[in-house]
Amino acid sequence: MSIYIIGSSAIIKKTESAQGIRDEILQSFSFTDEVQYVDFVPARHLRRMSSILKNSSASSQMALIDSGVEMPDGIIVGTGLGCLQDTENFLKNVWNSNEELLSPTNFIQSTHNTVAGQIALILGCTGYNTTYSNRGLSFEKALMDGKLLLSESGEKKILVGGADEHTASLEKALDDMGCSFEDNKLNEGSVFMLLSSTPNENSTEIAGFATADKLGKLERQFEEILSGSGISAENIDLVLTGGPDKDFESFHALIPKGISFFNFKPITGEFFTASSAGVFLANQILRKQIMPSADSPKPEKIKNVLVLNHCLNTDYSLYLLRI
Amino acid sequence: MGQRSFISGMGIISAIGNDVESNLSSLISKQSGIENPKLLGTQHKDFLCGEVKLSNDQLAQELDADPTHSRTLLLGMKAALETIDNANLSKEYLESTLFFNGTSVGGMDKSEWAYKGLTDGTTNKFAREFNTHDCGEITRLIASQIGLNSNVYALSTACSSAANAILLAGRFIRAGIADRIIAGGSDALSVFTLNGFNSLRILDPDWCKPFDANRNGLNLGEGAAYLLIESERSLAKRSAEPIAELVGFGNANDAYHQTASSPEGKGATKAITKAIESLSTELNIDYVNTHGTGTVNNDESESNALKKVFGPNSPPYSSTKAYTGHALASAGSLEAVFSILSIKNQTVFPALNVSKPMDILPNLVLEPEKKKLRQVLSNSFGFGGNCTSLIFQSV
Repeated sequence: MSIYIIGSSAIIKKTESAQGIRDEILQSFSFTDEVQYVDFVPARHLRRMSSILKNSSASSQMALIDSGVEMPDGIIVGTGLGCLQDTENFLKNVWNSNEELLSPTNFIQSTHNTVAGQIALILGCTGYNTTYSNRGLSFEKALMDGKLLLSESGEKKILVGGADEHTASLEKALDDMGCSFEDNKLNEGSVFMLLSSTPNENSTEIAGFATADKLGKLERQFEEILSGSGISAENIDLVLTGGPDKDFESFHALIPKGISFFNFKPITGEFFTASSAGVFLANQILRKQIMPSADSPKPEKIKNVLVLNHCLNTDYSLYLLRI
Repeated sequence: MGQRSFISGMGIISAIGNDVESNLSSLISKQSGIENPKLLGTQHKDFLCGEVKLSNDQLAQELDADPTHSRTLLLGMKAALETIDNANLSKEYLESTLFFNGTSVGGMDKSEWAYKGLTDGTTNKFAREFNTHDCGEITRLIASQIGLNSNVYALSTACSSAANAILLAGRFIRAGIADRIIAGGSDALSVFTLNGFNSLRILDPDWCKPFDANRNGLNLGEGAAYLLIESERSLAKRSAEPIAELVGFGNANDAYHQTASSPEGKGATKAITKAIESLSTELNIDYVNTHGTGTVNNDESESNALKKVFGPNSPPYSSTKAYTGHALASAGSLEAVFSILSIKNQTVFPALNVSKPMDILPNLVLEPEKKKLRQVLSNSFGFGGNCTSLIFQSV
């Protein structure tokens, strides 16, 4: 069974490090300071919403609009840390008030499934609904479930997303943990895509995807995916990497010379579900037929894009998208 | 229909016992484990909670684990190890066994205190606590501590998390993409959740009384429970005997309110209906282990859903929340174990603290009763409208 992305949207906070990228590609993303959230959420609800809820409510609906589908048959969200800001706010109030006189709003919005629940509520979607939280593989677990749902009868169009939020204490905690993100600043974003087993005029196919805890394992899976999908390494037109080249150096031996590598993290920044933004970017490049950087030579037709991501050197994922 | 999913082992730790046997004897003798918390470091010691009776030090000693670990991790390890032992799952099979874990607080019981240090300025470091705060890391750690594969799935759908982990296991096995999965959930009590539910004003200051006309809220609980779910070929390969079968499962969303359930039980009705439609065999539900939290809202909504699906003569039903408290993310797996114990012992466990049953549905079970049980339906509903129903069958 084939899996197609038939609509997509990515809302991220604009980073300062995105340079040397073609405007048409950059503009595929929606930036948090430009989104008209009131178009997607009633103003009275917006006031109480943290950024992950605002971004996910808007991004999920934008993905549906992009696909021309009004109601999905299921909603699956991956989030590394869930609704962190509401969690922190509620905890702060618990300790500052010595456990007295607490307002429930932050608590209600603190659970990981608030995101998928909120989208269901806005859409009135009573279909399958679930949430995965597996650090740098949270989006991948959601996608795995989406793929399984499509293979089962009944659920035909599945909204799958990755969403995470940035807070000051997250930055500090990760810093204390010795996590180095180098040039990729911590960021936040909500990426949604509508999956279907039947294509539409805008669709790109997820021809393969894999996860691993080590880069070496990912290399072996890459070779299996190539043989399974009938795509040879020579046919890959572009490799999008979630991190600097050196993080994926061994893949240079597997990809023929002359094929461009492009690091997408300067655009998206780093977050636990940033791989979803890499998949979104591949989807846009294939749809628009524009290479992300002016430096990359453009093939006659961009047919196959490989996405490689890692998070904290433990969570690796790989996607092969084709049009 | 795909591969069948058999349960070949289970493990549990809850307020009413530290293993399967002691949970069963508490259920049969109508013994609740809910009392004032002794271990939780809250100001609200007056709230009744279903606290597991072992301290972190006692758990760690028994498990030969680090006592500074999150309680969610220690509880999870304890129940998962019992599951492995109960199923006679030898070491050679562990590496190829998947782990699906439902949790909503993760390592919050540790990170909330580190965060307190940040807010009052007594510490500026919380790297260690933060590192085990998230559901994904707690899940990965449980798996690695007991020798399971690192390819783990952490599900976080509030109070239906563990039920969704079991549902996912059923789907993986049915689709033939896995043969052996330990699925369930773990959640420890935390100051965060106790205050959260208190802020919602849905904690009964007295013992909760699910399905009583004068019910007044829930008591929180904690615990962990897992099932070993296996395909027929995995059972055959290791000459293992099944104790029950997972024959149906359904997931739906209520899409009504952030926390409250629709009065008519729209999402619950759909989840139960989907579970029945997914049955790999004929419908023979003889008992319902309800979500039954004891809140005015849940019990009304769930009763209406059951009535809609089964008609006025719905199967006998009860809630075991008055024994364990509402163990949040792990509730679905605690009650999956209870449902299977019902089947295994052909016994329905009674509701507690009920003096005047609600009038929506007849057949609320008030005394333990021997009964022919072919299938048991187990419901789990949560914040965010997440509703999941599981159907277990005798073998």
